[in-house]
Amino acid sequence: MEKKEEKIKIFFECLPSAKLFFEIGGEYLFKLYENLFGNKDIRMNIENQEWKFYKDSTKLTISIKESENVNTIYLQIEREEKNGKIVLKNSIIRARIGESSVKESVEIITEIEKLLREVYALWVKAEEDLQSVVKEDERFSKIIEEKLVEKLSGEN
Amino acid sequence: MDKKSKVTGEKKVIKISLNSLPSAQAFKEFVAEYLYYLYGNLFKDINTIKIIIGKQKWELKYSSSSSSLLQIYFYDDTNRTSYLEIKKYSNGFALNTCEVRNKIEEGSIEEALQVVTEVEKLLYDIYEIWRKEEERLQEVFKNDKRFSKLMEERLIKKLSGAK
Repeated sequence: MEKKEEKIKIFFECLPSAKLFFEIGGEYLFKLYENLFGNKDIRMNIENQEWKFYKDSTKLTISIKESENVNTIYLQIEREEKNGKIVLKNSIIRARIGESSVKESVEIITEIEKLLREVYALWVKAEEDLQSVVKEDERFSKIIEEKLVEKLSGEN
Repeated sequence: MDKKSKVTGEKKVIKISLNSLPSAQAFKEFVAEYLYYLYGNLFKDINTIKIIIGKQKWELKYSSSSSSLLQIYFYDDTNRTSYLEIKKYSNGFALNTCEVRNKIEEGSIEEALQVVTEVEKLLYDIYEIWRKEEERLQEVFKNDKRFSKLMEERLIKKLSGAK
């Protein structure tokens, strides 16, 4: 073995509790997405890359479209049918965690958490903007008003 | 063993390679058996250990099944070197061709023992790093609120008898 002061890093995936972390980390992110967005799918561009967030009751997938017809799975979390456990599946993130140290693995989870919260803030802001448009743009606000009046008058 | 040259009078170092000795084969088998079980005792059922030490990536592969095997490789920028390869046969253990076997065969008895100690030290060093990193991960489960809450929920679920 070489000198002690050299960089030493044991791969996270070799640790006895790595499997548990893939479950706990996966469950945390799955529930975080659910709390923020429910089961809503999101599509967005980050620096010219097309990001897609898909969520249903059993699966959360975040993919990146690198170029025409090339999609990379950035993150995949799935509820396993056999035991109901929510687990981090093969993806860029899982591979990165697998080759990291414990400290780096926790940082990767924090990085995704940050990404989700940033997307959430943008998503909320965009939704607020849309609500403003509906209220303030006369073309729409007039229709909305008519619909409201219609509703209040009991007409179908 | 040091002897003086009859011609120059200078001291000569004479070394008999371990492989020339009648018991060399048995020694290699004992080394193989010892190192195989040492890995098994340290890392139990963990079949692969990957670690980066400086510029080298080390990979330890272990199998306790019928085709029992312990392989240790290290990778430089471009090359893969077989550092250690142990195979278990029905009648015992063998050191396959690898860097450790070459060193043992070419060295004196003392050097051969040093090589065994070197591999032993490597395994113990990696074990210490591995154990400490696992402890760190356990701390994360306990102290990071994001995960400790989920761990607690799991425990409650388990204690309540829910599947």
